Amino acid sequence: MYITIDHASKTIKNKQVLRDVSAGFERGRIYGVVGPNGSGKTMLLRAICGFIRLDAGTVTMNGEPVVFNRKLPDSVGVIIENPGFVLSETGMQNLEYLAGINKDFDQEETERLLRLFDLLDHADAKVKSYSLGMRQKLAIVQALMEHQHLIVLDEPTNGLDQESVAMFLEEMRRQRDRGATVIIASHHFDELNQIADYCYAMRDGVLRAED
Amino acid sequence: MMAWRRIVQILREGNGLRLMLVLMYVAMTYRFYTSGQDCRIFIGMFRAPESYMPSGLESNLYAIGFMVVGVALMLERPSEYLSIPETMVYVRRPRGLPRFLGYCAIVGAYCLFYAGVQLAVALHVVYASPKQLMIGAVCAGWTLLVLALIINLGYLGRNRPYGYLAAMVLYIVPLSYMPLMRWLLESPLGVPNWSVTLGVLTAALIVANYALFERLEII
Repeated sequence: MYITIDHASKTIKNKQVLRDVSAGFERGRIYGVVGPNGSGKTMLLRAICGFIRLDAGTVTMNGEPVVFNRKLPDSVGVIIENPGFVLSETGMQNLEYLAGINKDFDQEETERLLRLFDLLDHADAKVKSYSLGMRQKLAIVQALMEHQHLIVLDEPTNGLDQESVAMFLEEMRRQRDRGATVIIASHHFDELNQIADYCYAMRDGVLRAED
Repeated sequence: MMAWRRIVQILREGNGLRLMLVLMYVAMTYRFYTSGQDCRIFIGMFRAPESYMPSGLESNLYAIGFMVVGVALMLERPSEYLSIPETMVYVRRPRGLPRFLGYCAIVGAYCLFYAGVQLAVALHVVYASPKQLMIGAVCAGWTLLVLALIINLGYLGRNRPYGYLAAMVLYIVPLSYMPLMRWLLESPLGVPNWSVTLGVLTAALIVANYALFERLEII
């Protein structure tokens, strides 16, 4: 398994947001996590990215443990909640900044993704002029532009029109085919159903395999 | 440059409210300089009460106002900068000491600026005692820094009211208890006791803030 979650539990403010969660994620697969608001989907994604300290259990990535706020064992692209772009900078400058953190800016791939999501003509516009949908698409681009091995997306189609959703789904298939592991949390079971190789359902912090 | 703009974006939120606070504070400052108070003591510096005043609090209302407005103008934005869950950044590079040092620099610079501007005003209005004014400004700015660090402890501990309560108690107690105020103004070691006290408090609070920051989850 590329990612293994082993008996993970987490309580926040007396509410158990993850209850003895165990799951495995293989390379080159798309996984969907569906569930209502507050079910623990986002917390699960945070646990995978090492953003929280688990009360019990472990997460391993590529055979190495994921430790709270330490360098992740592998490259990860992420959208969790609102993307925090610098609004006074252009879309391209934001992408260059993020890719520059690990000195991994791939101009060609970034432009391909911007073109795919119809953002290339707006790449030199400040992000504050972007619509909600455009910001979401920019967030998707930053999660993919460095050929990340793991792509973790929380409600990635929020604010996207039908055409953009179709582009997104197609791109996710492409990412899977190049060997990336994609984990998508969403309310929209119908969208996940179109691309996911495997689906989990989350409710009250409990993760179950979906038939 | 991008990191700097990111900081500015977070800090500038709430500028309308800040403007209103500044206008109110300008009125209060005008009142201070026209009220007949001893203006050779910096507006934010605590002062021993006049003999006819019943308590130290009454003679320190302007100093309290200085601190209240100083804290309010921050609108918790430096704390927000410290704890904002920038997942897109942290997934590439773990959150670490530079972020905390950035917070310290922001708060320190703010306190310096807030006290500095008012020192410039005081030096312009009051021709006498520039040294006393400067010492008062240092004490007031430093006290504001300590209060900000206490409040930030509450913010990081996700218990903001306690942070404000602790800051208020720590500030009000010396103003209300005369023997303590007098002790703070003494200088048995060649430097005033308040500077030693503030130094110790600052060091302890920075350590405590960093310890909490290290444990703060990216949520």
